[in-house]
Amino acid sequence: MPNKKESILLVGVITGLVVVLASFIPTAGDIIGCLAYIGAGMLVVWHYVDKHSVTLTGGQGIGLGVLACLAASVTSLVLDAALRALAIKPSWQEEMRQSMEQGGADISQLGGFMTSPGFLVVMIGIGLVLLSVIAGVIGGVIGSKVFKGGEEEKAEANTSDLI
Amino acid sequence: MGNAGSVLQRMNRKDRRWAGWILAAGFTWMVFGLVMAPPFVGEGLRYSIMLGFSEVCHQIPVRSPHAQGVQLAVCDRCFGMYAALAAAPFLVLSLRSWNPWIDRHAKHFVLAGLIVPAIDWGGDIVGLWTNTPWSRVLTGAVFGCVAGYFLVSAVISLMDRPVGKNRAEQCGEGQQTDDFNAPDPAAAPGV
Repeated sequence: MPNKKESILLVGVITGLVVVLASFIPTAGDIIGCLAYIGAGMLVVWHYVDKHSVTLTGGQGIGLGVLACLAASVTSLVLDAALRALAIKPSWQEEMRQSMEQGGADISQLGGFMTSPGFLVVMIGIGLVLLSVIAGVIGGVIGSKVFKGGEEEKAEANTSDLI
Repeated sequence: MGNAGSVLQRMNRKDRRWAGWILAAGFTWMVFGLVMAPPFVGEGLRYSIMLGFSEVCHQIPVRSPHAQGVQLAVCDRCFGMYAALAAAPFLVLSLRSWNPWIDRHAKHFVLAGLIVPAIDWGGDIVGLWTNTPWSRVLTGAVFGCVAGYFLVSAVISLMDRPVGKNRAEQCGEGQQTDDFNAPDPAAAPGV
């Protein structure tokens, strides 16, 4: 199987950039961000299939999609942290406080550590991994169904049969 | 991983497929469980779950479902999508005889799954109509059904791949073992 790193890194970095730029758009930015992650799963499959003229199985699509979304998560997390450090964006704490107040949550009931920057970064990191897995799986599997470019790689006979 | 590999190696084809189905179902139910959890957990855990899903969804309170007066972790449309994802393992079971036909028309299903929510969202944006919580949930569910179906069938196919020695045996000459329940493509409706 040809090297997948190029497709994963290229799509991951582009998606990470798109997500960070989209985050400046109020409300629509979240939707664009979510769609961008699912789109990344599809895009990485398209790029790989187009470049190597192969057809991927659903499982291979899932693998590529999740890895591309993880690369996108890391890129967006690093860029986001840099923008917050430069005070171009509000701090994690400020943003979460606003978000919780909008949702009617009582911040005073939370432990002090829960509003610390470290906790927020860890939780958002976990969220991004969760998002990467969910969106990568969905995008990758859809990409493998939509984009086909030749012989199926290491395909098994009758893999489309179900239980 | 080696243990998992040897366990898989010992399984027959039907068992491997069921293992794939259970894996996919576990994943979709876990995600849906997290989406549903906020009203039923403490403030701290609820905050953590909301924070985790904040990267996936806008979580605008007026456009999100509530249970017991507490907002769930995602908006209406995402809720529909995750609910449909959770139902997808049963969808796959009930549509298994149609699978070859669905697989051949995957592009059309994916396109429909994307267009339906886009129309509902776009119509609201350009002012043609005002979408409702139900329209958002149902159109999200359309995408969730399509994505979930292909997700579950891909995980089943992934687990169906023979490991090690069995792989060589089963791939060689197209031999298949324990394939007593694999559907006959020619018998599929619409073929």
